[in-house]
Amino acid sequence: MTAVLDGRVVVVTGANRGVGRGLALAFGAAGARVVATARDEEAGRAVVEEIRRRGAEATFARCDVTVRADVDAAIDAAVSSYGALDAMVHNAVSVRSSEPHDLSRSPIALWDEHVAVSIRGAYRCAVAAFASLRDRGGALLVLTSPAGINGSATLPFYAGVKGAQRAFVKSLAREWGPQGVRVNGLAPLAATPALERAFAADPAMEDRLGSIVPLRRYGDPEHDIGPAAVFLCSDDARYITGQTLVVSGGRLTSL
Amino acid sequence: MREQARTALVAGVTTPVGGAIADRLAADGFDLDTEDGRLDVAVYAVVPHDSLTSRPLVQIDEDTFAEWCEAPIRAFLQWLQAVHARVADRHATVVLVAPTASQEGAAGLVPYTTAVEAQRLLAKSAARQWGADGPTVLIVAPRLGVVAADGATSVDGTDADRTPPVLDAGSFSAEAVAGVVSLLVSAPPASRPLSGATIAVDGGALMAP
Repeated sequence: MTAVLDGRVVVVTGANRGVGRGLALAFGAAGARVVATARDEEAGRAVVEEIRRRGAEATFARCDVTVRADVDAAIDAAVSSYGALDAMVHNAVSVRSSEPHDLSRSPIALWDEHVAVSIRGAYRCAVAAFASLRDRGGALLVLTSPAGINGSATLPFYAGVKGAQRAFVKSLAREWGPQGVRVNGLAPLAATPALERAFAADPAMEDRLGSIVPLRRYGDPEHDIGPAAVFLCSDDARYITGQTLVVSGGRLTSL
Repeated sequence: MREQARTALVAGVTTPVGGAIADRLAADGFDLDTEDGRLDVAVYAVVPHDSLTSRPLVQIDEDTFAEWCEAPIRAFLQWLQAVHARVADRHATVVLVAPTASQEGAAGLVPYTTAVEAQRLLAKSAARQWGADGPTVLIVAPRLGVVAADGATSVDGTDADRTPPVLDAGSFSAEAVAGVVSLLVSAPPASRPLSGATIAVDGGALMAP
C-alpha cells in the first residue's frame, strides 16, 4: 500500500482483533502513526508490535469506549505521542454483538450494552476528538454495517445501533463540515471472529450469506476493508463526507 | 353477520401527526384502543420534544445525550416489545412514524436523528424477524417540520427539511400522513404486500434512494 497517510495520526478503537486489527494494520501500512486501542491489553499490544515489526509507528492505549476517561486518554495518547490527531476511527462493538436474539423478548439490558459501545461510544469518540480533528482538518470514521441499512432478522439490536450510527454520521457531517472536519461511515462484510461466532450460533447463516455475496467470499479485514478506511481518512477523500461506503463484496447494492 | 370492528392503538396522540392518525383511523371505523386486548393496528407517533432542541453535539453533555438520543430509542423498543404480544398471532400492522430527517441527517439534531434511525432499523429488523407469521411493520416518514409543528418545538436553527417538496403543502400535512397510514393498514390482511418498507410522505422532497 502506498503511504497516503504518511505521518498522519490515527486512533482506532477495538483494534485488538477482527476488523479493528485489520484497520490498524492497514493504517500502519499506509504510513500512519497508529494509536491502537482496546480493552484487551495483551491482544492490543500484539497488534502494535505487529505494526512496528512491519516498520510503522504505533502505540497502545487501553480504552473501554464505555468509559469517557478512557476515550479522552486515548486522544491524549495520540496528541502526546505524536503531536496531533488526524483521524478518529470508532470500530469497537459490544462483545455480544454477534449473539442472535429475539427482538420481542430480549432484555433491555442487552440493548443497553449495544448502545453503550456503538452509540454512546460514537458520541464519546466524536466529542473527545473534535478539537484535535478541527485543528488538522481531520476525519471521523465510524464502522457501521450492512445490517444498519437493511435491518437484520438475526441481530435486530445490532442492526438498530448500526443504523443509528449512519444517522449520527450524516448529521455530524453536516454539523462539522463548515469547520473542515469530515465524518463518514464504513459498512464492511468481513471474515472476523465475530462473524465466525455468528455462523457457529446459526450454521445456516454462512451458506445464506455466502450465496448472496457476488464476490463469493468475506472480506479480509486488513486487505479488503482496511484500504477503504485508509481512503476515507486520506486527502483523496477530501470531498467526501456524510457517506457510508459499503465494502461487502457486492452483498449490499441497494444504498 | 356484522363484521367486528378493527382495533387500533396510537401512541403519541398529542402530537400533530399522531393526533391526525388517531382521528383518521376513528373516522375510518377503527375502535381506538384503551384496553389491553388484541390489536389490528399499532402506531408509534411519539415525538421526544426535548430531543428536537437544536444544539451542536460538542455542547451536549453525556446525560443530555442519553436523554435526547438513547431514551427515545429505548422507549420505542419497550413499546414494540409490549405491543408484540398483542399483535403477534394476528395479521396486524405496526407503523412507526419516523421523519425523513433520520435518512438525510440534520446539523444541530445529531441525538434526535440518531434516535429515529435506530427506531427505523429496529422496525425494519422486526419486519424481518417476525416475518410471515407475525405482524407486518411499516415506516411512514413525514417531513420533520410537520412532526414538530405543535408550537412546543421547531426545526428552526437546524438544516432539516432542506430539500423542498415538489407538491403542495397539503400533500405532506399531518392529515396527508394520516391518510397514507389509513390506506396502508386498511387493506385486507391477506393482500397486504408491504413489510419493512419506508414510505416518505413528504411531498416528493426526498425521493430516496
